[in-house]
Amino acid sequence: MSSTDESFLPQIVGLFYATFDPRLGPTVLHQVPENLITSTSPDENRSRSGSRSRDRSRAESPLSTFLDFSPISDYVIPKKSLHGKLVSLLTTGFDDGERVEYRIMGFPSVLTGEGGRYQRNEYMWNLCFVFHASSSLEAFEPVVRKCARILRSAELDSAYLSSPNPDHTPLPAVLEQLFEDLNSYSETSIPLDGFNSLELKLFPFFPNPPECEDWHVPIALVDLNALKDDNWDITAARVAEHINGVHHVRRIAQLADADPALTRETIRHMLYYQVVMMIDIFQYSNMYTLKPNITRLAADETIINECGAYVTRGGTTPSWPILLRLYSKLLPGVTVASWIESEDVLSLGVDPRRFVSFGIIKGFLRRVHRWPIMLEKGSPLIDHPEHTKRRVGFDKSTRIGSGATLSTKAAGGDSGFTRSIPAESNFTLRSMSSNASLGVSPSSIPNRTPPSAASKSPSRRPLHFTAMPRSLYSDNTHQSNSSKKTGATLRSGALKMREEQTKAIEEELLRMLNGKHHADEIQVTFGMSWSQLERVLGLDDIKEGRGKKGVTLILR
Amino acid sequence: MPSAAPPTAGEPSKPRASPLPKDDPLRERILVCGWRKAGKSSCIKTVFQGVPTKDVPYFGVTQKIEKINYDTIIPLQIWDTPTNFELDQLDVPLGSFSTIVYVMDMQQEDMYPEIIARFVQIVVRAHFANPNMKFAIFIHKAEAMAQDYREDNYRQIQQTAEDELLDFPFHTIQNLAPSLNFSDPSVTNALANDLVGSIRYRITSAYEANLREAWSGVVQGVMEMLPSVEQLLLNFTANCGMDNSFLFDIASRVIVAADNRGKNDETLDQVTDYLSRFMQFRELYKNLHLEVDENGPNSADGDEEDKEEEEEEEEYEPEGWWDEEDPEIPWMTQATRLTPNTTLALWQFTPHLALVVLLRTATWEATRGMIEYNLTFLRQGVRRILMEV
Amino acid sequence: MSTTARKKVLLMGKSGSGKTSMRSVIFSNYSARDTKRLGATIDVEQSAVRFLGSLVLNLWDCGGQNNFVDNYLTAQKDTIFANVAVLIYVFDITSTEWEEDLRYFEDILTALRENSADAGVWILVNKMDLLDKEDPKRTRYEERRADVIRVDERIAQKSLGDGEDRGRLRCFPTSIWDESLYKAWSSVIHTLIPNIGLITSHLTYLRDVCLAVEAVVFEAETFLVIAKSGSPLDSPPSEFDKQENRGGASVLDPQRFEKISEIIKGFRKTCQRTGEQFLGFESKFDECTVVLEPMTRNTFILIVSVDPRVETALMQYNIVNAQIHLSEFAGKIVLDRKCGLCRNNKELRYDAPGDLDPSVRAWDDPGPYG
Repeated sequence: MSSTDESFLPQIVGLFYATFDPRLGPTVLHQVPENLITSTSPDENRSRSGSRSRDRSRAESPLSTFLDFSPISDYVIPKKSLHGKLVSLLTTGFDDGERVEYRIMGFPSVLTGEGGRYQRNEYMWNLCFVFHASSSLEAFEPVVRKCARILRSAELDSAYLSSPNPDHTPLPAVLEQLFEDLNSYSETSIPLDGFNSLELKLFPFFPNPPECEDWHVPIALVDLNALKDDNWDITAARVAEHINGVHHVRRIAQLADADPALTRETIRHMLYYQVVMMIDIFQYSNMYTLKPNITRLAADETIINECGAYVTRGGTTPSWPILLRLYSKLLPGVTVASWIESEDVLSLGVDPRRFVSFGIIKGFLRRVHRWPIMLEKGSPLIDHPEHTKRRVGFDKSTRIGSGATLSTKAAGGDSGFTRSIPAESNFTLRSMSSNASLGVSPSSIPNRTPPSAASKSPSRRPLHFTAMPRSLYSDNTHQSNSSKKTGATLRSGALKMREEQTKAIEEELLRMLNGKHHADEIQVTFGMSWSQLERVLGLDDIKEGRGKKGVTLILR
Repeated sequence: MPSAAPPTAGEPSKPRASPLPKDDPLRERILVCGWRKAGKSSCIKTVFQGVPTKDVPYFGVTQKIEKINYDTIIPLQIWDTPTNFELDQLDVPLGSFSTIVYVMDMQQEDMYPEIIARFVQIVVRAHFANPNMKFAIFIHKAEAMAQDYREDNYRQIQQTAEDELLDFPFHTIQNLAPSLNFSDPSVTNALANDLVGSIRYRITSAYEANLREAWSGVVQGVMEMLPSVEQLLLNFTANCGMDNSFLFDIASRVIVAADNRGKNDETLDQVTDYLSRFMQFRELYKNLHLEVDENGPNSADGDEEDKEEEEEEEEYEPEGWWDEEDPEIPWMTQATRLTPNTTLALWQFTPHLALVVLLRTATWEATRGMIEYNLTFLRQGVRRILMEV
Repeated sequence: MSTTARKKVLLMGKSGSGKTSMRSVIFSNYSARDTKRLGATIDVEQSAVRFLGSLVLNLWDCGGQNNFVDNYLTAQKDTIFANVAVLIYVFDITSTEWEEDLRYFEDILTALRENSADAGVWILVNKMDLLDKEDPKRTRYEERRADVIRVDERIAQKSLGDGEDRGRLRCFPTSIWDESLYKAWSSVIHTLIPNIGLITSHLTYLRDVCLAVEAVVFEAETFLVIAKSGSPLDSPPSEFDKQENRGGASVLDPQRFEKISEIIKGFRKTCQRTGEQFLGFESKFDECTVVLEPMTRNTFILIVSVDPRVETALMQYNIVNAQIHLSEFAGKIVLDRKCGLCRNNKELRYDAPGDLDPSVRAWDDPGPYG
């Protein structure tokens, strides 16, 4: 909540206070500005002429006021069913003779008087805020509610509303100040009756954060550790330590020893408050491209100044034109690896990961995803498990993130396709063809249920997936602290079962090859690198736009 | 139409003409006193004089002592006292009263100590005038109070009164009881405890049934024959498989005796309301009678089916209320069915008294004949007791 | 007759005149004291009350605040005043702004006449209890009544017709504290009930069979009186029929039915506290033998006799037998048995087996020895 940008808070067009008058019915008592809304004044009513023309249209010209009270009075002072609820309504009014739509928000309230405190046993009122119809009122909801609550308590304590007292702040003045302060300062403090006061502050309204997926990589936009204090949620504190722009969400959960679902939730909170943003897993197989706004941002002073320092690891800083040229060389179809090679990026002292992150954070670079599609079912994607190299008796399953029910762990599969087949054979997934210290180690690619298992709650995942935990790894350091809950009982891993499992994996993989799942997702799901996936899908050998197994790739 | 006062009872609301002389010493005298505007008159008039409750706010201030004679199961004389009443103003000995009802306004919370101090003065004096004197506090005007407040105030009043009695400076009234040694704390403590035990506290409201209940306690307190009547009712109720039975004074709707088994406020409210509603209904039709019609058959054989009325003609005694009775007029009976399974039934016993019973409808339908047969003997029993007194 | 008749009843009058209070007393089993808790009515509160199974009253309780009334007369005019069967307009006798009250009434009556010319109009001058102490002769009421009638006549003259199809205007003094309220509302209901004449003739027959003075039908929920045997409701003693005179009905309180409504409803409320419901009673007192029993699903019947030969059991027996027929003709057109009363009734076209066969006796035919 560091930056409060008043500019996107809607402006209040006016406020009015309406009550139920025991004689007249719903009546507007006070309003700001003066000409906000028509209200039948007692005088006007008393003088109902002897001629009693049937036409009771208001004498005032509609130009003089913005709003007409009578059509909306049913909702301002409504029947019981709407009391104590936030009511907002759209109505047409006039501004300088033109029809304008307004949005009115209020909180109809009622107090039942004990022992004849009120003439008709009840006091009904509503403090309404008027906005232009285009305004988005989310930020005002808590304010309108709070006003109603405080006024209610003032009425209870000192009959503040129903019988004004010289010691009280007069209600018209309160309306005036609300109008001025909230529009100018977004906050206000108005003492009412000596017991109660309106302490209001408008908070900008943030939209709900996007979903947080396991393969996303959060990157801090502010110094999280500086914000941290003792009151922080324990999970949040631990998660924050591991947000470094490198670790993806599942990895963070592992490092922080936190429940993956809670981790996702925590990071969503950070997203909500815009202290982190999400980037992709950085891989040397990734592809990027510039967004059109680079034409504008290329001249942005702050970008020019920050870029050099951010993307290099000390030493000399290349000039902006050089960096810009490097960015422009990131194109669809060109992997980072080949870009590094062809542009000799490393010699410039540029850290490719930070270089790419910077572009994404600043919003002029975007990832180009690979979207594999199965065009034509050819040979099976996965070879038969017999071919799997087995390492019986070497239990090296890692912790299985969220699925507490998961106990079996193993890997089986061909050609580096690590799968959880109830056998202990494991595969080394040492995938990175290049400098692992810069990239993301495949060992950190976590298990993840495919999105088709829609629920985030582990317990609600479809059983047929939970029964087949995916596996991962193969960092030996991992294996050393890997869980011992591995199913020793399953160690004998029946061959038949393995076949079935393989079949299931094949089906699942096929299902994801519909063009709606990009390669990152598939990789995280099955815990494999791009090069492995490429092989499995037969994309390492593309002819006439499709691989040897009938899979094609869309770059988008 | 304008007055539209629901007639509270079938009997005339003025004091009944009594065969007894006006100041007959046989009448049990009840003295009603209390703080000004406490509601003394409303306590008396709404119950014993049939004044509708809606007239209560219009009662004037009582100017002088009013004696209200009231004949119910026993003859009563209720003394209503004016605002500035002092015990010395009585023209009869204080000892001739059997009960003192002290009315106080529950809403005068700030005045409780003074009001109660006054009451304690009266209690102590009256006790020495008549050691058998009974005391009742009507904590009146309760209608304005919620139940919680009522209970709090009740406890507060009771506590204050007891403290006052226990702290009472008995040595100042040594002259009233020369034989007692009030300097001895054990004597005064015993006396105070004795007095504490003789006071009954009642929450009352002119608009609620609890006022009649409070009077019921007072009337029952002066009934010597109460145990015998209660025993009769108990036997009857138990033998006929009924839930409850109440012997009501019809006009005042005060219960003069009951079987005293498992009764609760709802039941009391219900039977009291039942009686009063029925009396209102009766009022609408009671003057109806067959016009003499030379052509039509007349009522010669009228009472042959009236099982419960036949007995009445046996009763010929000299002197007393039973002489007023016209043996030709059958006694009132009434039975009201309620869902799911209750019947309220009423039988008149004497001109003033009626029995109201509460029983299961199934019991009523199955054993109505037996009940009515037994009832005859109960009625005779009750009447005989009353004639003996 | 089997079809449900829906009647729209407008309940109007200045704010605080007691519209919702009386509605609550009549239809929601409120006691007069309970109405002190009621709040003001916002706009129009609609409720439907089923009467006698076949009559549904759509009650429009219209909040009386000026702003609402202005709205009724303008924006909502067509909705409010169309297809009105009855307008019940409530005045507050204690009002200090009589001129203004009257003007409002005139506006509303005019609007009503424009949209529902034949609607019946009942004027209830309420809160009489507050004035009776100072004005026991009710001169104020008579003045108010005269004013209202003048307004009605003025409007009648203005409209084109000579008032031939115009609903009648009736005026009642009321108070929620006594039976006068039941009187006024009974009068409203009575006129809305179809076949009231038929009900009356059956009641008269039943009364005669029971050697009774009167047989009266009450609606079960509200306990409003619907019909009585013999002479019409509110007849002066001079119009009593023979049986009524024989029973000495002239001594009876003309307000007795309303008082009974009040008594029974009051007792019902007491019974609610113990979770019970009033089902009926039988009684003998003085010279009277009385039963009050459920008649049909929606009605109770009261039979009062002073004939010493009559026992409650006889009345109950006759009621049980009448129930069969009365619930029958309230519900369907083809009757199981022919009925002399129904047959002669012009309002009811019915079918019954053997109706034309003189050898099949109608159920009410006393036969050669009757």
